[in-house]
Amino acid sequence: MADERMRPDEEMLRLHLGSGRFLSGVDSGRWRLIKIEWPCCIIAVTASDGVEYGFRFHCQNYPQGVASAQPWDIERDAALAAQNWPKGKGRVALAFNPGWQGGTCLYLPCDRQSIEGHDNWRHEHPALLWDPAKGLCKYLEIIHDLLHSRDYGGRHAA
Amino acid sequence: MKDIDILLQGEGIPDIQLVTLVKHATFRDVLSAAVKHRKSALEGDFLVFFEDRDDPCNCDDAVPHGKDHAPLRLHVHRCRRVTVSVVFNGEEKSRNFGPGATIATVKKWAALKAFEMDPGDAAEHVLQLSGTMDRPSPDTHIGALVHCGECAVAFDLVPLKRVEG
Repeated sequence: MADERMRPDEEMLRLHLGSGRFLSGVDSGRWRLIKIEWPCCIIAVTASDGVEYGFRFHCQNYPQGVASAQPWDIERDAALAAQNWPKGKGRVALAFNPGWQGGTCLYLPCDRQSIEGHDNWRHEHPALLWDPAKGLCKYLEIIHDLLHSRDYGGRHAA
Repeated sequence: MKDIDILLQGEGIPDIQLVTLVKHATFRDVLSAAVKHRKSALEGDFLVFFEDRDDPCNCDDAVPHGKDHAPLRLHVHRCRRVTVSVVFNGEEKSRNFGPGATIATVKKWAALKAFEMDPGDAAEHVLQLSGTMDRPSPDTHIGALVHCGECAVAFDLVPLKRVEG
């Protein structure tokens, strides 16, 4: 008989997605859970122009293991085409770069793929590092902040 | 009628807690629920505040349902007011808020009113607890960051940096 007990990392992810902090973001319209497909979950984040961007978070070994977020097409349930990534300048253009790692992650210190090889970020951007206590909520807040910054130019900005 | 969901913050309460109260609960029941979520026992008279409102609720009043059954956002604290000071470019501005004021509300006051930034510049700055690298989330209540006896919190308004190299 198969062991149907939930893995501890999946259990912790589901706990965080039901937490007051995550639900506060849902209630204020900042983000919403689309679905969980362990070890991934897809969450939509709302930008300042009302556009919803999907992100597929890889959450193996959550929350001690750092998550990685890939822009995701919610309707097609597939990787988001580069032309549909958030556009802008400065901080936005740097973070949402489809050319980085084949478009599989965001160029941010809180991302598992991107922090590798960027040890300088640990002292240059301590506020943007992954925090196991806050988990996905902190990553979502960083994304939401970028999508509400002066540098955000919309989905199809030049 | 459904039970009442509350997103609760307060003195000694870690993060934001989801609390469910039965219908017809009073604000006194909110005080009882808060005790269970505090990390340690605290003495004194606690008050319940709605988020971003200065005056406390009457403990005997019934807790209303949130609009369209959205969770209520409440705060429990012993301080009636919290003195907030914000430093930007070496200049300090202060103002009193209710303990249920959010970081977003305080930042809006600091950036737009106290330091007269335009909205674009304001979006490129964030409140950071003085002497730390901690940047509380926009929905964090300032009362969650202070204890009675002090009833004050200090921030720096710092620019958001680009992530490069």
